[in-house]
Formats: sequence, C-alpha cells, structure tokens
Amino acid sequence: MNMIVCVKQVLDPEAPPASFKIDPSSNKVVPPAGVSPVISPFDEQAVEAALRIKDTQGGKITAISLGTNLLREVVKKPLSMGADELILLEDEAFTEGDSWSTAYALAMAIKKIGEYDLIFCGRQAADWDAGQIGSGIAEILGLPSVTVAKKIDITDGKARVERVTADGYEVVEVSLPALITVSNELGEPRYATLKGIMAAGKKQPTIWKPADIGVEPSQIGAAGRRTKLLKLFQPVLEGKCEIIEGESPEEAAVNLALKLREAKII
Amino acid sequence: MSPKKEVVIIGGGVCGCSIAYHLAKQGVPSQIIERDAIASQASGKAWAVISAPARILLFFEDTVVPRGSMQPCLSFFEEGFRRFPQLALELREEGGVDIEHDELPCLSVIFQESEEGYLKERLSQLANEGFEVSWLKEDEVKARIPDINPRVRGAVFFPGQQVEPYKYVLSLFQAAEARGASIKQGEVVGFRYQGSKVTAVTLAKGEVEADVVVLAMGPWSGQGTSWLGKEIPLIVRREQCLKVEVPQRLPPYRLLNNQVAIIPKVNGTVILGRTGAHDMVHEEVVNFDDRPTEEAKTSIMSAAVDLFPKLEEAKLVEHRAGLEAWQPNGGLPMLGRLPGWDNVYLAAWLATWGIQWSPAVGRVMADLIVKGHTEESIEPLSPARL
Repeated sequence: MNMIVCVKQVLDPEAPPASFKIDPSSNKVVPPAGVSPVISPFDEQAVEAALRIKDTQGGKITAISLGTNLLREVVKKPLSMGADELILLEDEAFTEGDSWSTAYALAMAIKKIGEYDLIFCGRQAADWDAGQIGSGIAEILGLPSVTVAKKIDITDGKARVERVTADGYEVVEVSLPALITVSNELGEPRYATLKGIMAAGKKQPTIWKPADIGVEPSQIGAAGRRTKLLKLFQPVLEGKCEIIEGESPEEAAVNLALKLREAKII
Repeated sequence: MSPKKEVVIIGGGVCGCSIAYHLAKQGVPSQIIERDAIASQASGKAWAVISAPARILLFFEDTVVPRGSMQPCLSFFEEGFRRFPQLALELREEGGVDIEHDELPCLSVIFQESEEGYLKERLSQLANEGFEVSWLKEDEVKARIPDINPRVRGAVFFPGQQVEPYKYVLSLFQAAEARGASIKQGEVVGFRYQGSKVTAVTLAKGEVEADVVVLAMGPWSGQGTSWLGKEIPLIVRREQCLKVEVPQRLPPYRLLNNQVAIIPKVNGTVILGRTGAHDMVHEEVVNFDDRPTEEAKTSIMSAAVDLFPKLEEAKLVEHRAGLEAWQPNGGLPMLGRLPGWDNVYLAAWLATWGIQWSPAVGRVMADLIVKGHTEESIEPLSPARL
C-alpha cells in the first residue's frame, strides 16, 4: 500500500489560552513565547491510521508538510512514528493561504508523487479548525473522500470506513485510491520508539518549491486565496452570576429547579 | 509557640509539603500558598532516587563541590536514607497514597579500564572513612544485568532507594491536611509588615494573615526574599530527563555511567537522565527557562541505548525539565530564620537533593519554628552567614 499523510505544524493547542495574543495590525496570532509548536493532533491520528495499515499489510508512508519555519524535530514526528519519507513544501509562497490555495498546493505535490492508494489527513487543524483541506485535495484530484473516520479496514482494493456521526457512526465503503480524514475516535497515536526517533534524526526531508510541483506563486499561499480574512480577534467572555436564595438548602434547591425550568434548561 | 498561630508556607513543592507534614506531626497546622499545583515544578519531575551518602561524596566531591564541603549537610543524606522506608509506610497510612517506595541499588559502571584506578582509590578512601562500598567485576555486573552493553568493565555498587515524586509530595501534604493543614492557590506578590514582624502575605488577589512565614520557594526564593529586603543569591539550574515505556521490565537497579542514568520506576516506566559534567547535567539558565532541549533529548537517548541496547525499543512518553536552586559555587542548603525579621523562616538551595533531604529539612524547620531550636547545629547553613 502506497500511503500519503498530510501533517501540519501548529502552535501548541495545549498552551494556556492567555498566552495567545493577536496582532490586530497584521491579523495574525503572535506565537506564545517559550512554547514549542507541535504536529496538529488530528494529523497524528492520520499518521497512526496509515501506520496501522502498514503494520498489517505492509507498504510505504510519505508524510507531507507545508509552511515555513518548520522545526525539523516537529515535522519529523511521522518519521519517528514509522513513516518512511518526509516531503516539505517549504517556501514563503506557500504560506498565509486559505483552505483553497493550501489544498491546491498539497494536491499538486501529491500529483507529483504520482503513485498512491490512500491519502490521509487529520479531520481539521488544531489552529483554524476549517476542516476543508482533506475534501479539497480530493476534489482537486478527482478522488472520492470519506471524512471523520474512526476505523479503517482495507481489503481487495477497497476501504471499509466507520465514520463518526452526530449520534453514532455509519459504515461506508470506498474504492481506492481514496482520501480519508481521520478523527480522534480512531484512538491514541503510538509513541515513537527511541530507535524510531534516532533514525528519523538522521533522515533528511525532501524540500519542494513551487516550481518543483508545477504551480505558479499566484495560485498558492496568500496570493491564491479565494477568501479574505476580515478580522481576527479573541472574543471577550462575560459572565453573569445569579445567586439563588432560600430559607434552607432544600428551599434554595426548589427555587433553583424552578429557575432552570423557566429557562427551559430542564 | 501556640498552635493557634497562623503558619503560612509559601511553596507547595517537596520542601513546603515536608515542612507542613513535620509541623502537623507536632500539632501545628499550616497553610501552604502555591501558585500552580502541588509538586508542579521540579519536585514532580525528579528522578526521585535516594542515594547512599558514599555515592554522593564519590560523585559530587571534586567535580561539583570542593572536597569536604558537604560535611555540614551529610547527615541530611543519611537521614533521608534511613527514614524513607518508615516514612513510606506512615504516609500510606496517614496520607492515603502509596508513594511507590522501593529499594533500588545503584550500579555505576565503567567502560574503560583507565577509569578504574581513580575510582578504586576513592573507594578505599571512603571505606577507610567507614562508608559501605563495593566493587563488582565485569562478570558480576553482567550476571545482574545480562543485557548491558558487553563493553562494561566493572561497577561500583551502592545501596539505594526510590519513590514516585509526585505521589510522595502529595502524600506529605495529605497527611498534613488530615491534621489540619490546608492549601490555597494564589500568587504571592509581597508582604505586609509592622517593624520587623510580617503580619500578612499579599497575593495577586487578596491577602492572608500570618504569624509565621516560611519561604519554600525553590528557584523563586530570591524573589521572595527580595520583598523582605534580603535577596539571597542563588543559581537556577535546569535538569532534563526522559520518561519511557519499555516492553519488558528492566533489572531493578539504577544503572549509570558517565553520560546517562537509567532508573526503572516501580510503576514500570523508566526515567533516563543525564550524568557527567555538572554544568551539562545541571545547566545554569536565566529567566527561569524550563524548556526541554532537543540537544538533551538526543544525547540522553543515544547514551541510554549505548549503555543498554534493548532501550531501542522503548517508547518516548515525555521529555521534561525541572528548575533547581543551588548555592553559588557549592551544594549546601540554606536553612534558618531570615535575619532582620522576627517571624520569617527560609529553606532554600535544595539543589538536586530536595527529595532526599526532605525528611531532614522538614524536621529541622518544624523544630526551629515550634521549639525555636534544632537538635543539631545547623548554624553553618543559616542565612545569617550571608
């Protein structure tokens, strides 16, 4: 099985909310000081999904990441976990894109790789949460896509996918090649072994520029956007607290229940 | 001292919690003020090994501290070594937590025969001073640890123990809490005082009245003492380690050479830490930089796999760093009343030995606070010496 996984380096979503600041003049997030970036968590699940297939059926996994200031110890995580190759679309021209221009660049890189049975993406990135890259890549490449997968089984050139729905899951079958976006219900991604980390440390990623994948700068990154970011801000949360009184705890409880009933909460 | 007085301890690490525990044993409840969580800083990230005093002397004298300079606190190492087995039982009873205490002997191995001469000379000096030490030959080491790198030439054997650091500190606090101690989350920003007596601890939000104040603030001790006009000097050092999971339990030894230490914990995980040159293991940092570094991760991993090749299959679960406060140019703690103040006590400079010293530090500080004096003289460790 030839598999491709798209992984994104993001600011650590586990960093305290107070450490994230927005620069209003540039509409950008200021990276929190002293906090290292990470692989977007759903993308780790996407790598795990590919590894589980490699465990049972063998194959090759190529990880792709797009951006600038890509820390090698971060983007090499898929290699540490067991992926075979890493390709970086590392150029300013690729950055500040929206879902469209980013999906386009990734799709063209995947086209250049050429041979693949499965493409995995995380269901959404931990920074923007748009959730469109996977489906977008599939549309551009003319592939079927299945989103929010929690379990994937491959037999005879078909994938049987359990995908998460609002109140359970549904089972979908899709012929390969196909693109699958992965959700956390798949389960914990494996820890890398020391052997894997040390081997990954020695591997060099392949770096592609726009010309390498046959795209014009106008089609990718900020220049290729089809959406315009108007405003980026942190909402100010306001809380209102009403103390429910009562002569006794029992009475206060009755009053509280009535209030909740009035507000149609219970 | 009347038990009704408010003792406020600033800092919820192993130092503050041990002092609270020892005060509680004397019937004195205290309130800990902690800005994050119990053992959230270095105390929760420690190897949590308890070393035979001989090992401390062998490896820290001449390399980190001048020979003979640890004399004033040698008994603290001994007290920890002696008291931990009983303390573990008491804490399970009183604190409700199993601190995962166990024997964990220490094997300090050499790969080059050239290292043997110096070590054997030091060992015989220590034996003359009455310490229990022994040398294991190559075949004896391999009999105990069959999967060790075959290049091993011999090892120094020391008895040793270990605990689980977070559980130990939590248990100290819970045992104190069972006898009336409490904890408040908050950030201390200063003090209110009248003459030479502190009357309250000022927090970012609010204030806590105090009759006695104990500073147990680790690397932040300088900050704490600066609010009282007596900033103590200290060096902040960062120690890093890796936590790994292994497919098969390792033999029950703390195994180390001059680059790495492999510490199998009771719960089955293994800590990989650095040994070797002091400034590399306990790197001096500025601005309380507790970020783990890629360089440390890489060097610990490769040294660990070299010493015990099966660790190749270990899974990396966590890479962590803790900040330690050290005496400038030395390794002694600082304990005692803060000069110029009637009711402020200080426990600082616990270096890399906070856990091992905690039974002694807790006892000594509690005695000082409750009785006004300690069984032994700790004058060489007093802040008054500054």
